[in-house]
Amino acid sequence: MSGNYYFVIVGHQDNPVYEMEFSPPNKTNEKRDDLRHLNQFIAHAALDLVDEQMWSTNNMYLKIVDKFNEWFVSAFVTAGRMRFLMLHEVKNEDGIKNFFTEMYETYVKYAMNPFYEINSPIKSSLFDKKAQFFGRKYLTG
Amino acid sequence: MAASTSSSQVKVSSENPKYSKAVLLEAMKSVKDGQLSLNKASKIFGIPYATLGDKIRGRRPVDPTPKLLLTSAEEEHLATWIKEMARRGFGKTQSEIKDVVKQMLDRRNAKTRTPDNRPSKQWMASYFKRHPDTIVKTARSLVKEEQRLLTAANLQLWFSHMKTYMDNQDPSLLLSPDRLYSADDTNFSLCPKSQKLIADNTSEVVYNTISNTRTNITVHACVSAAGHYLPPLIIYPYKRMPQSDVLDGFDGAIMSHSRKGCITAEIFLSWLEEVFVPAVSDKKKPVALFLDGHASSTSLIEISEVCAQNEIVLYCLISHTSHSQLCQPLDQAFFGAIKSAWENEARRFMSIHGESVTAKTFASVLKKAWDATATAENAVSGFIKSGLFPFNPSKVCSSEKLAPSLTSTDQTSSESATAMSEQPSVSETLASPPAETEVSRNAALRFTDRPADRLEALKDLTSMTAEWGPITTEKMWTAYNAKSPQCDRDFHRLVTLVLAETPSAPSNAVTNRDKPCATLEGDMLKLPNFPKAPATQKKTFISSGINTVSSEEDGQELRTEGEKEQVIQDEKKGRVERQENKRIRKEEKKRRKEREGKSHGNQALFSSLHAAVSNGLPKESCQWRRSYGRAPRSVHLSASFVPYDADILPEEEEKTLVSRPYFHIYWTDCDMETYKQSGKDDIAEWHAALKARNIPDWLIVVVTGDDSRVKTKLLQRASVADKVKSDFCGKHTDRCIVLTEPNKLDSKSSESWSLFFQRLRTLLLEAFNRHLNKYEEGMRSRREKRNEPRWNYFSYFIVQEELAFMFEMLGLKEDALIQYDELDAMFDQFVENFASGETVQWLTPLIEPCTNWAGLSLSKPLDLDLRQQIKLNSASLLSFRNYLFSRQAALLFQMGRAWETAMRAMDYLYNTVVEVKLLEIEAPTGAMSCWVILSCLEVLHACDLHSPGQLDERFALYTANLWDFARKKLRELGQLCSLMPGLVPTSEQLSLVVDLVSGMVLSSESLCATDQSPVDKLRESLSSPSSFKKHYLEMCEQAMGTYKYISRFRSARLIGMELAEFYMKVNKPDKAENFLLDSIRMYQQEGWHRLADGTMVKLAQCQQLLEDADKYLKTSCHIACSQHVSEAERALYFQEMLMCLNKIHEDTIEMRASQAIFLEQIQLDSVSASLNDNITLTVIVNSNFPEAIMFDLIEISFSKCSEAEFQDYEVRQTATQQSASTPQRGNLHRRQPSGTHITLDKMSNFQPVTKTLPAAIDFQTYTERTKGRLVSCGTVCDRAHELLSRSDSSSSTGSPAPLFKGDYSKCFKLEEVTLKPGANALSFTTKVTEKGTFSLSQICLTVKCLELLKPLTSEAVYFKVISISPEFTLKPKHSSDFILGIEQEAELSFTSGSLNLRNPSSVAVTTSPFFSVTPSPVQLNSSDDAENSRERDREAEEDKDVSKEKQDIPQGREAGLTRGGMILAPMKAGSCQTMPVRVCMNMRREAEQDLISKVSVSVEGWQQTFHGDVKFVHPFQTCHKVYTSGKQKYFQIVISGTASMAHFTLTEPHLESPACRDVDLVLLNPPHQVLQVNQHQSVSLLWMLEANLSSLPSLDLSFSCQYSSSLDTTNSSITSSTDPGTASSTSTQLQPRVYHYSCSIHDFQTHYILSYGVSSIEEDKACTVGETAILDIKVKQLTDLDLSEGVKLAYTVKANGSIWAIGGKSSGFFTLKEGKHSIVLDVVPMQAGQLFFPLVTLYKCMDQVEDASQSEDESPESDDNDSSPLHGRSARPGREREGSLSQLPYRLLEFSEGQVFNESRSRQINVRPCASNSDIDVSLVR
Repeated sequence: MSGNYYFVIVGHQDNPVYEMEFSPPNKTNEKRDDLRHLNQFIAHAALDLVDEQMWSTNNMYLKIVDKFNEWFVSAFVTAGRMRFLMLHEVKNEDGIKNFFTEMYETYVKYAMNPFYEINSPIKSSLFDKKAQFFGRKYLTG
Repeated sequence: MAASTSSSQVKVSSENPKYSKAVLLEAMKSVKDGQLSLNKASKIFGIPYATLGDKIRGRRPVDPTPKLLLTSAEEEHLATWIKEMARRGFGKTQSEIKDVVKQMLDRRNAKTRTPDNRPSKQWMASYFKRHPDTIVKTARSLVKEEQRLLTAANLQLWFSHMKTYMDNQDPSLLLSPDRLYSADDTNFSLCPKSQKLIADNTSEVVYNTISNTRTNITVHACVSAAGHYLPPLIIYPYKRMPQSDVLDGFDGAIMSHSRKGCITAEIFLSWLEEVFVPAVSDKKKPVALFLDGHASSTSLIEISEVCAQNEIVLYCLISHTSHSQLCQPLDQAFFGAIKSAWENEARRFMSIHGESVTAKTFASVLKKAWDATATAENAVSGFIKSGLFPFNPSKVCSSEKLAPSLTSTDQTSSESATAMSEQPSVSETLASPPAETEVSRNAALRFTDRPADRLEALKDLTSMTAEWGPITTEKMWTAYNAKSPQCDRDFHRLVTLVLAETPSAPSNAVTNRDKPCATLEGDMLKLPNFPKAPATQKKTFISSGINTVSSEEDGQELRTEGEKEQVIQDEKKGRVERQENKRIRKEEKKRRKEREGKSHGNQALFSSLHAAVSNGLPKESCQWRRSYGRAPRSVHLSASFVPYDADILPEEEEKTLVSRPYFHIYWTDCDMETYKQSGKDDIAEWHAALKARNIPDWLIVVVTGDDSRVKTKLLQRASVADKVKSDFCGKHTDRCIVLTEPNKLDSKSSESWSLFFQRLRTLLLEAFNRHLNKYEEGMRSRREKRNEPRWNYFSYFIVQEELAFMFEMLGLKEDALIQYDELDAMFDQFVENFASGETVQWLTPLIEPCTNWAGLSLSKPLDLDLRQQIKLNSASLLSFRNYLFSRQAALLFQMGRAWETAMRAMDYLYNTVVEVKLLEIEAPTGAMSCWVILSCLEVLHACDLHSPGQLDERFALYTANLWDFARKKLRELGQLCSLMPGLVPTSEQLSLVVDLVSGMVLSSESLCATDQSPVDKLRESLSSPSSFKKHYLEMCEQAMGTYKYISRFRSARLIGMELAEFYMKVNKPDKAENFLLDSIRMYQQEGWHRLADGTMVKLAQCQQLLEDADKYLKTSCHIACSQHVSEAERALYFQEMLMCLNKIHEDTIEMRASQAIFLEQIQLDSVSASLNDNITLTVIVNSNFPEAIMFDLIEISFSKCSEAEFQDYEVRQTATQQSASTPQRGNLHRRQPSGTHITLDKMSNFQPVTKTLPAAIDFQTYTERTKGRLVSCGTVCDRAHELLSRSDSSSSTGSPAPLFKGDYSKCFKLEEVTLKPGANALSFTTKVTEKGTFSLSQICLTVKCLELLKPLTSEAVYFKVISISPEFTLKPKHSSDFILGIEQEAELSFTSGSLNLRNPSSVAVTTSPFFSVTPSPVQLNSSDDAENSRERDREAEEDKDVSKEKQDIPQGREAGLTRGGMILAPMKAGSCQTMPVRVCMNMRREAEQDLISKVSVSVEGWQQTFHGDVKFVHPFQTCHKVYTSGKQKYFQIVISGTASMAHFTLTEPHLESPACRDVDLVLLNPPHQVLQVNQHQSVSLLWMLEANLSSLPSLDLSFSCQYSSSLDTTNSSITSSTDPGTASSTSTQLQPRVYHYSCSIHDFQTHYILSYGVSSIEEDKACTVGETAILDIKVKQLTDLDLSEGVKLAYTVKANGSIWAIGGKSSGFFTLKEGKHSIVLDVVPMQAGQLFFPLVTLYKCMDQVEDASQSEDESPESDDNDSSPLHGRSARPGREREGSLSQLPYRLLEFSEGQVFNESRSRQINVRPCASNSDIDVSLVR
């Protein structure tokens, strides 16, 4: 269950809307920034595969869509075609699925906010907190 | 009954010896002598009666010696030839010999009795008799037939024989390769697709079948053991020589033609003479030429002659067997290769030219294949493999497999060697043993129609047996593996052939050849265990080549899709005698113990049916219902048959699947009698054996002939079938079936066949299913035990794999694959468990340190080495994985799903790498990478091979990943070993490379023979940085290309990034730049700014290297402003940027400012501005630069825009202002449609990637119907996927225009501005010089040469420049209108319009006369200006003057000329200013009505004069009236107010008549009455006229009064400014305003007094209605007036007719007499009550003739003449009626009012109602 995770919500223009890293509590990550850069590369490249696979299934959860070196990329496509991507080092299908589902719900709630513009970056401490919580619960916990 | 046939045979053979010539002669003699009768003699001498008779009668010559066809010399020659040929292995058949004889005869034109010049049978027989030595030939021919069954013995024999022969010729011959030649021909089909035709044809049978298709071309090739090829001979299927040059393209080849396209003896002969002989002419003689033994090659006698002449030793390869390939060098190596090469060439040709290869083009295509394959190596290896050179018989007939036979073979070979040496007596016996041995024990392979397979299989079998001993299932697979990959279609055929044990014991040769079958018993028979029974063997063998073969069943496979079946076949017993096979019943026999002399079934029955059975079985498919709910499959069954042998019956518990006999059939055709005698027992024995083994799968086939006849004659129950049924079948009646007349073609027979097949199929499936289930059950139970400690995965693996093999053979690839997948999953699970600590013993070997990382190999479908390792549990993880995947891949390839292989490969690679990690297998770093690369490449190669030519999209989908993966790993390796540019490998790294390379197994076979194998490639890559670079780039390109092809652009970009990095390292920044730019563009567009900016740093480095200052500057600038890179970097690049700026001088560089500068707010001070006004723009600029930077110039340009835009903006602006004024905070949130926030502008310098959608999208409608009913319909877009897919820059065409600096002629400008990081407020001001609406268009920030541009159109800021002229208005303050005659307070207001008034400006007002506008004193006071006050004084004086003079001299006065009278304060555009003024319009005497006056106002500041009208209202309305009372006159004046608001007080009314002093006017009003006048109140003044004149003249009256009003400021100022010191104010006070009114009156003096009254006729009686009353009119002339007499007057009485009825004339004339006149008229009142008198009016009568001027005069003519009253009346309405009454003598003039005083006007009389004169009856009512 341990291992690093990187979660990103990608909007309709393939733009990142929300990003968040999760790492196990005992590990502190020094070079976060660098990592994020790499993560973004992987996540971005994986979008191709997500786009490809989301037409082939009715499920929102696409499971592992790509592998990149030691990273796996799992994806989730919401009904509104927002794409949730998760980079992870270990397989944790259920956890990720749960996480996605919860985040989806959170996202939907957030999107209901009339002051939130769909596709614009999410900047909300509440949202962050939620994500952290679910991350601890399902991913790193 | 077999015995009987053999006895008859004996009889025949013994016939000739019966009677000799001597006996005959003696008999003839005795008959002729008459000693004996003919009859008796025949009996005594044993000569047939007829014969003897004929002889005696001379019909037949006594001496039977025939006339010889050939001369004795010829016969001798023939005999030699035959013998010689036989020694060389070319044994001749009778018919061949006949042909030769025919040739000889033809040569000398001899004739025989037979039509075709062939010798007859008899001749042959006698010939043999004459040449007993040629008996050998007979024997040889038998041997030849036996040779069809290849045995080691045979081979050995042949080899030894050959050697002997050759050694005899020349001992050194076999040692000199250049003198050993081999020739053979092979057949090419022109349609390479159909496999059937690509057979080579070393046996005639194939020739015959194949050459039917006339597109076959035979190529005859010859090669020496030294590798020297002779030019090929190409034989076309033409009847004549073709016209065109068919050999075009293949120089050196020789062509020939034959009808069938196959080689003939003639062709061979000519080839020999023309090609071969010259070719070997320089060789040392003799030369050996090995040939196949078919007749065509040698059947010409000339051939041997030619050979003899040229010392060519023709030698037949072990002939007429299908095994000649074994020792045919060409078949061994060359033909296989050239076939496949030719096929490839043909396909290529087809793909290039679009047509298939024709005979004409054949040569050119062949040439390519020939060149590629005709190598010395092929030749040499062929000779080596065939054991011909170096001489090595064991190469072919090796060894252990053949071992059992070798004993006998050795013996035979020696024997046969002796046989060769012409020992006829031995030969018969000799011939048999080899056949028998081999039949009984050895693997004998027989193939006919698939030579290539045969070749391969045999090759492998032989080598296999050498290595492993008994053939096992695995070995079969080896055989399979050995095949070239493209042949895998034929896999099944091959395997089955190998596995099959076929009773190749057909009774005649022809059937034999047709039958594809193989006998191979190795596996099942466990060779060493078989007891040897030499004695039996001998018996068993029958020279006919029929052998007893146990019928073992075994699957023979039907084409590829087929199902395999095993059929037991009963065994047949061969017999020497073959003739009457028909009725011989077949019987099944146990194999080794035959009961020989007894009833052995003749196997001929089955042989005769074999073809039909094995062909017919697969013809129809059959439903296979499977257990466990699996989907039923339709399968084609085919079977191969083996003879029965009790020893090989499988044990019940035997767990084999593949090589198992499944079904047993007993064939019999015995008749009742035989059945009873022996058949029954036989069957019973067989049956018992089966039962003993618990085999339920059997069938007895009873073949009956002549059914109908039997039926008619015999009772039903007599039939054998019934008997069999009752004896054996018991309950299972379906176990016996009757086959009727199988060899006939009638309907009955076919019906019975179909019944038979149906039954057979069902039963077979049943049997098979049972076995399969059993096997599966066993397997499952094994699997259940998997958690037990001793369990071994790999042994289980082998078991389940066998199931997979089985399925594969059945063609159920899917199921086979499932087995592997299950195994795969199971293994995964174990590994996972292991990783979590669950140790399993069998896994331990896998965990050992890895030393070998050979890549996956897909070259063989089955790698037996690996399988063996796995079986032994000694395989490493990698090799196990390799094996498993290679099997899966092989299956997928067979299913044509190569792409899936690629798909799975990815998972496979990943999983394996993960597993290696999980299991903690030690391996050098990089080893796994090597493995991955190797495997990837292998898979890719395999996919290439299996995928059709061009790139398939589905395919590319997965290969892309593989390429990418391999690339990544290669890169890893590069890093690891310091092969990446810029790194210098250390010695450790070098040794690592060596380690890695050694770990890849070098010899691993690969698919790509021509290409570099993966191993080579990788090794080369690792060898040096340069080659690494080459390979790395190649892979990158591949991966990128494939990604792009499947439009995975992001992935492609990622590779591009890495490539860029690579290029940077190799110092080729120019190449890197594009990749980086591409990536940045995409990242930018998609909003991944962190990535974009990170990449930008790389780009900057790249551009720095490129020394592209411009771009570098831009990029640096971009980075410096980026939010996503580190501070340090930003600072660095900021410095870089500044440096760059200093360097560049000449050029200006434009770039978008978006990243660097962000405009937070743009605000104009006002939306609109007046022309030439200054407009101010406030901008809050956010600078992203890390440090403050000074801009030389900041400009904001604006440009004209349309009015509409501006209005929109204004509306919005006001709206926001309103909302801003509301309490909620100013920032109003506007929800945008998604994505709009990514505006083009944010893209900085990079053009966005946009997708252009087509203008029209094609849709198609589809409807789905079932049975005419519509089920669904809809529209479909075929290109949906394409349209929906993401796009990339490459496809985008509509990128926005780059930003250029716009027009800055109109702009806001600031110079030298320093922008700090963060927000900066800037304020711009400019003067607008043009009218219109404008919008901001662009901002440009200039630092040295760098111009940062940013379009502002999106900000949408507009303003307007306008000019509106100022205006003034003058309005009274208190009333609605100005009122004439008083001075009022008023307001003079100015609206500035669009003009500003910057300074106080004086206002001058110009008015017309009597009109004054003066500043309000309040204002003057407030201005507190002494001068002003003085001026005011003066003004006041002037006013006074004016008022003095106003009555007389109306003069223009310019009130406004007073200097500085009014000052206009500065005012802004659009504002309004008001100043109080006083306005006065003096009332002039003549002014009686409203007045409009003009006023002009000039404003100094504007230098403009404005004109306007002012309206004044007259305050009073006055009217006058004269009243009369008798003589007395009164004059009244009424003054009423008009102005609504004004109240006036009038004083001192005064009326005078200035012209006439005679009249006094006495005011009757009270003297001090207050006279108030306003709109609602009027004043009436009354005067009495008193005149002292008798006659009053006309009077001009003038009225005046003073008035004052509350509005009048004069008064108020007077009252308010009680400035006593001012004389003027008192004087003003003294001068009240006066109102004048004048009028004149005339003709108002009273002349007559008229009085009248009505009275009743009767005195003192009241008038009564209806009664005539008297109207008494009296007119009196006033005496004091001097009125002339005789004035004629007229009167009229006027009354309403309903009130008064006037009797008589109502008018009349009269003349006064003595001033009086009286008239009486009768009138009748018509109504009762108070009635006015009728109105009487007087008129003055004038003569008609008189002038109107005299009308004034009273000249009433009294005229008694009654003028018509009508006239009179009619004259009344008009004062003058001259016009209308011109005929009247008079005209009537009315008197003016006041001249006649009517006394009685409005007097009344009471009229009583008339009295009723009727009686009123009054009756009393009680």
